[in-house]
Amino acid sequence: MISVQDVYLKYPAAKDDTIQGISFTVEQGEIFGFLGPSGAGKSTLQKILTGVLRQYRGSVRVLDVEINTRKSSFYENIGVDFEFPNFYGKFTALENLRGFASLYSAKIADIMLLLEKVGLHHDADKKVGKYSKGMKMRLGFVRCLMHNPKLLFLDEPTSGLDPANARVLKDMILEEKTRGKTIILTTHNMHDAEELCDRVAFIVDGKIQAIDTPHALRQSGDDTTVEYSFAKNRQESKNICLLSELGASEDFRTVLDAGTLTRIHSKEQTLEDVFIALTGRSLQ
Amino acid sequence: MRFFSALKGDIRYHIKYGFYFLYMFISALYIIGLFMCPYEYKGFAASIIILTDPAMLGSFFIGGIWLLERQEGLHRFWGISPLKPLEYVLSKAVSLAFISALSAVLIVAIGLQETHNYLLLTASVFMGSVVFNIIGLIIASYARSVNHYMLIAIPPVTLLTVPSLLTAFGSIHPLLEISPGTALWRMIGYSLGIADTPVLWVWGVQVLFAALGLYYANCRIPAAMQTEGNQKA
Repeated sequence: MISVQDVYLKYPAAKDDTIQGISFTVEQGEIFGFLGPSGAGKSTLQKILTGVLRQYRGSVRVLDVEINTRKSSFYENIGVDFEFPNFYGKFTALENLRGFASLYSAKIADIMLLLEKVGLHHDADKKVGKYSKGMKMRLGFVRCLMHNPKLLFLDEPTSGLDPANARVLKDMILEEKTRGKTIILTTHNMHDAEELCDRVAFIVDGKIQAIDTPHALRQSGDDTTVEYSFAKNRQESKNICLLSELGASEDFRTVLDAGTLTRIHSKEQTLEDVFIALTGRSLQ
Repeated sequence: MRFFSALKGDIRYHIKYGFYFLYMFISALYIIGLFMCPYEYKGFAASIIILTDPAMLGSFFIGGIWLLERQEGLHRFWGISPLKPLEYVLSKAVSLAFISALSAVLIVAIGLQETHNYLLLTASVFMGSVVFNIIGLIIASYARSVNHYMLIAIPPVTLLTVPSLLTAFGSIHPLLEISPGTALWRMIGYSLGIADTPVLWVWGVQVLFAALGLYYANCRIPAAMQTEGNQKA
């Protein structure tokens, strides 16, 4: 579906390459995440993949097309959900969507049904200028789905959403995956990446530092530790040991036998922990 | 087909954002002005009004539309939509030319109340307006703000307007004839019965400027959309 080989991109005004030798592939039906802090090159990479930036070096093939030779018809098959929503403020949601839909030759999905799914059906006739950021985000998501594209680019799709609406959107993303859609998710939200992505790529300073499944990345590096608390002299004390050594731990067995164990937690690495360990940078 | 969808969308945009109302309001003011104008100057006054307002005003309005769309972030969407840059430019230029032609016909029909060559008038204003709108769009694509647009639009618009006004007031020079403004005034003037029959050259100038403008805009507009958000590529 996507094949990126040794890609570099330099903005004319920049001193150095913003994208520096990136290579990866994405299979059909996969949810692939780009995880990295602001300014890492995620948006630039997405602009290359969507054919907006075409002055790259290397090879970028998307939907079997070298992206710098793409035609306008290429956009019939991709849907892009922007981080910052863009609509005609004086048009209603329905007018906006119908207007944009008329530019595609594909059969358009039932717009009202999609609006209902994201909870905007009661506001379909409301001017978008009066929408909140969260409502615009949901509307943007509907727009990127309505022409039934094969490939979706989602840039921070849950940004500005309350937990309930974020849940709805994430379920819809997973639903699209089950329909065979390929999804590129750009985010600095590790929870979204962990929950949604089959694989993630850590991007820092225009380079991919690691690519793997979220599970494999979390398992890499330090072993999982266990923190347990126990009562001692009418006070709570804590102890930490490796999960793999818990069974053999004399201290833990003593506490367990004495019946003084009060709490026990396994402490797995989060994607953010792995990210920091690998890159020395925070995701925010 | 996609071009017509875009055209329909742009016309709806003009209605919603008040462009039709604005044109009609301006037309009404000019019609009142023509009613008050002495009979012997009415034709000439109408030709200047149509030349400088309905036909050329679009070049300023199209800049406003471009900047408004940019403010609403819509250029990012156009950059990843199946709409071709040429379709985008033509849709913008043609949709505004519709209002210009409508406004010109109204001014002449109500303000002059005489039978004129409405078909030529409509075609002339429409064609001239398309040329000026494309030029306006190209200029707007270099503007950082409305004020900046007004500033950078003045020299080229003056360059396009002055030759036509000099011609209208009787100056004759071969250089004036290569201006699309002059060509437009000759076409408007003839349709109102105050200028000689326009030669093929006049149409040729309009077609040439439309073709050159479209060619340049087709390269410039995608590049301008791409460089938005302070990202130069």
